[in-house]
Amino acid sequence: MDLSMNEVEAQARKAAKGADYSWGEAEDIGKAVRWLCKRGVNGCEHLAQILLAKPDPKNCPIRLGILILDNAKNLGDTLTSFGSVAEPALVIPFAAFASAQIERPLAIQAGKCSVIVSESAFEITGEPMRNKSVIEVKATAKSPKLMTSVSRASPQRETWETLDKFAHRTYAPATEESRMLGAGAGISDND
Amino acid sequence: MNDLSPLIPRRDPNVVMRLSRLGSLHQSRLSFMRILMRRMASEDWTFSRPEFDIDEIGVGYAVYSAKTPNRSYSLVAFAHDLPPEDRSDRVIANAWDATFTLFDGVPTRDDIQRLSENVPVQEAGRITEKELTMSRANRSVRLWEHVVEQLSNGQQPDLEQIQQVGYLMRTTAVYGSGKFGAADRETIEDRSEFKAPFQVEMLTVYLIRTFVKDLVEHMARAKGGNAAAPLSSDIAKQLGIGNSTGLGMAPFLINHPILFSNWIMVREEAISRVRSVAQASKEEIALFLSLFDRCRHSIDQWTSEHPIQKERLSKLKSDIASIVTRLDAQDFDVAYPWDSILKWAAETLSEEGQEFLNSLVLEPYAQLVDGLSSCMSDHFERSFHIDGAIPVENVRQLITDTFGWALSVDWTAQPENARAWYVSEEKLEPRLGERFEEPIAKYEQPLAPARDAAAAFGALKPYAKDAPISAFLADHPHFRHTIRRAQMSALAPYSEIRDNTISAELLPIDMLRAKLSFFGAIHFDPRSDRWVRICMFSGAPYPADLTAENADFWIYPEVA
Repeated sequence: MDLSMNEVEAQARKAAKGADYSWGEAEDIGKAVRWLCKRGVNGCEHLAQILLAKPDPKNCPIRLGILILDNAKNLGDTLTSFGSVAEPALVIPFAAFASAQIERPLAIQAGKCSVIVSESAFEITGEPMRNKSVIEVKATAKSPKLMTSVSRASPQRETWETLDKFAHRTYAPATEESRMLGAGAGISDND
Repeated sequence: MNDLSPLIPRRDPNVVMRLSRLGSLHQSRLSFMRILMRRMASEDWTFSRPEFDIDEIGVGYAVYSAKTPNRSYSLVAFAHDLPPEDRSDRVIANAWDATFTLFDGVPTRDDIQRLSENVPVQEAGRITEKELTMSRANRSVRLWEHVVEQLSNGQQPDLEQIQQVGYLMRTTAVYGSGKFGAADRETIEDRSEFKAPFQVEMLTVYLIRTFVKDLVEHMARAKGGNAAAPLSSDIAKQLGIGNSTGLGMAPFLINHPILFSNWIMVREEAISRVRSVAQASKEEIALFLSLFDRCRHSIDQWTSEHPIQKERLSKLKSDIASIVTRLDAQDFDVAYPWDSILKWAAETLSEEGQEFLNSLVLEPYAQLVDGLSSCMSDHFERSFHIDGAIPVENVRQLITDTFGWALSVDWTAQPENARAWYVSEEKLEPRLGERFEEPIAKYEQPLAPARDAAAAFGALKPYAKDAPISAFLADHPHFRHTIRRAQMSALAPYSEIRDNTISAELLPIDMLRAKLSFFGAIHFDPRSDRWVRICMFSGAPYPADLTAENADFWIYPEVA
């Protein structure tokens, strides 16, 4: 698929809301998935997996991500996840948003994988990021290499359809009444 | 030289951000259409029609090209033969008289082929990063047939009918910003021509207007052969492009609080700068008075069948009479003449009349006003993210500042809570329903910021004043969007509509008009409480006639 970033963000936001995140959390999730896609990471797939897996809050990368973001200014101290985190790549954009607030990069340790995250880039060293890692986050003096961003996202169709299914839960079934009243047809529109 | 730091402050958001006032806004020299026209003229853009391949029943395609100093853009237009029963302005339509896309550059054969398979079906198709917008338009059946008939006989159309309708086609959607696969705004916002908001959409509509004129003349020739006449340039100039806008536009203002605040703040800043002008020059006064005369003509042509707009129009017309009397008596030699007029207006006129004058006084002051157009976009991605360290007390204060009025509203009372905004499964369009009559509450969109702010304010009470807001958010994730908005309001004083957006009394057309006035629309004609017709580019010079002299005040018709 060939998608614009606005399409990705809107779909991620709606899908997250459809999966019972709050509207405010869903807004952050939309931005997070967009951030990943702009850096060539298949954020849609990570989100689809987490929405399907419905992890316990202590294993949820989104809950951890929001915790990091909301406590950005305390990240001189190390923040450790409460459990092993599924789809840990989803933590990276939240760390990027937190990094923008404190104007310092953050270091994420996920098992044997180390990630340095700045407002607009990340760099992985050690082993690749693995599902179900315990994560530690703290501010760091190191900076990731600059990254070029891409302008389009190309998730698999099945991934997009998974997000679509969740997004659909936010839509009200159409009724004739809503068709007529809800959108406000009135005087003829064919003249 | 006028002092650039205004003495007279911007108006209070509590005055400006009421729905009835937002629903009375008028276009100004900061409107997006007018920004585009000035730029096209000052940069000497050139226009051409590389292709026009349309048959005698009006089916085919055409390409219109606009060349800036650095780039070119091409409107690719598809003309269709639409059975009358399929013609609808509603978003639920699936066929149109004409469909369009604005291509970034010059399209190849393959591009045209690809677009011909996608653009005519609109939402059911896909466009790519090479396309900046996608849109469609329907004929005004009455006027179209009349104009083709007259021209085919070598006659000009009846002026009264032209003025009554105002356009030959009306667009029913102009999609940009990554919709249906189009290029994201962030990929083009660094181009100087697209710095101001909605410039690609305005360029699309401007080129559509030329296509529509060419098409109607083409159809007249197909019918009348050599006997056919082209449209007289005077009549052609009066024709704009209509637009039919429904609820889809209303949530935009709530969903883009910083952007909306920037639009309003820029206009308020412009007004305060002009009010702070100590002495008006003879030329400035003469220009203002002549444009006022031209406005009177345009307002006379503005009609509506809708009872609310009819009443507003009758007030506006009586306001115009009061303004005439006032201007006759006005001593323009007094200090701060514009401030004195606007103070009088605020005490005397209806909101329609006040906002009409607030826009009009900006006209003689290009040097004070036009530069502000570069501040109307939203480049502050960072302000989206919540700062969790801000103390609870500060957030409560921000809510009080913006939504103080909402804290005493009884949000459980049915009339205050009567409506809910939702998105329909059918066409994914926003709709407004009756919360207590339809099963829609569980699908409610977060478009009632005042209600949510009042609830969050209550929920914040048990928290220590100096506790970080992150502690509250950890317990109350469902207030996250409200806390975000409150924090944004610290940077964006005009971000929030200071009225109940779910009350039984809500008129969504007020929200539509606020947005459309910034586009530069005129002659608002509500067709119900939730959709409105307008006219765009009426009076504008066509590409071949565009000069620096006529790029600015075209929106005010010349008085014969």
